[in-house]
Amino acid sequence: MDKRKLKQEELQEVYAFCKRKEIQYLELRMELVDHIASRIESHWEEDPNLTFKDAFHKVYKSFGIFGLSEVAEAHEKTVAKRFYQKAWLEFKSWLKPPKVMAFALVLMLFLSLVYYYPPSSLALVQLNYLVAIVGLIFMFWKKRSLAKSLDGDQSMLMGSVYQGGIIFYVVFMGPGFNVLKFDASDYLHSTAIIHQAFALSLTLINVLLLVVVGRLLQTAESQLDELRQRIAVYSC
Amino acid sequence: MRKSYIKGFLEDILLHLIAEEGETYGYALTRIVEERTKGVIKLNEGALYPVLHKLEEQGLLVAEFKSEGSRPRKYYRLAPGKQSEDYLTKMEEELDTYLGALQAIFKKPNYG
Repeated sequence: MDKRKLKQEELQEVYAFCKRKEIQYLELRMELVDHIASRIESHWEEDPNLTFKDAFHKVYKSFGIFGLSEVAEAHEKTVAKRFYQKAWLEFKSWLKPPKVMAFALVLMLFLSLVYYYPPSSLALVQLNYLVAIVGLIFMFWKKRSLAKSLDGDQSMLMGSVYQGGIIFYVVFMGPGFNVLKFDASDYLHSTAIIHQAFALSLTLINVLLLVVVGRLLQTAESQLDELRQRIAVYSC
Repeated sequence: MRKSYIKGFLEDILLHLIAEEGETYGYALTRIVEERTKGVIKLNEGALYPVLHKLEEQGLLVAEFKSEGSRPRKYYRLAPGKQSEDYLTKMEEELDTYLGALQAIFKKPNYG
């Protein structure tokens, strides 16, 4: 006799249950649905007459009150780590000679510009803000449109992007960024070079974050079709 | 069985079993452990999946979703390459030494 397997509507019920329990990342949700389904099927091997509801209840009870949320919480760390790994790889790729030379060149250009024409510092500061704000708006828009095509759900990569947003906010709003703020006279002061280098480094951190977030969203987008196909079985 | 015993060895247990099986998934791992230890060790989901995901992030495991019947299933296998093989070899050597040391401590009960 064939082993009893979960029907599609039963799988949908397990999937909906995991969603209700705030297993928000699709990869983890699919993995847990398969786990719960496998355990239900193993209960049926022992007792084929058990109803789906009873078997499901047995499995859920064995998870304990915090079972699923424990898994979800621990998974958040993995999701965050994925962002930092990507950021570290990106940063390492920036340390290669052509990029370091490009950075030095940009720094020299900035310094010369504000030295010979101090009012330009204001324009540079405004440009910096403009790029950051446009970048952030683009990120939010992109992430929202990706989530929309997954019926409001998100993949791990899409979730990891939040880390970038948090650091971006801290750097951008932090006191360190004040050196960039509208004080053109300061650029002719003896500490101008240190200020400029510091401000430029902070700007670079933000550019790095924007690049990493952009790349993560690009990868997330390339995985979208496959993900949609995989979760199709759970949609009514 | 105290949970702390399992916790300390969970990474090693999972890496060893995945290397042995070639390719396997979360629920199958819980079954293998339960069957081999005759129910002495039971892996719960709250401990199993975070460790699997951590090993995946460390690059020691690679994972891939495949279709099992109508539903997707995530399979894990040892990452190809020297890093994971070396890690596994070193881990098993250390485990042997450690288990030997534990046996040496607990072999002769002599409570005066």
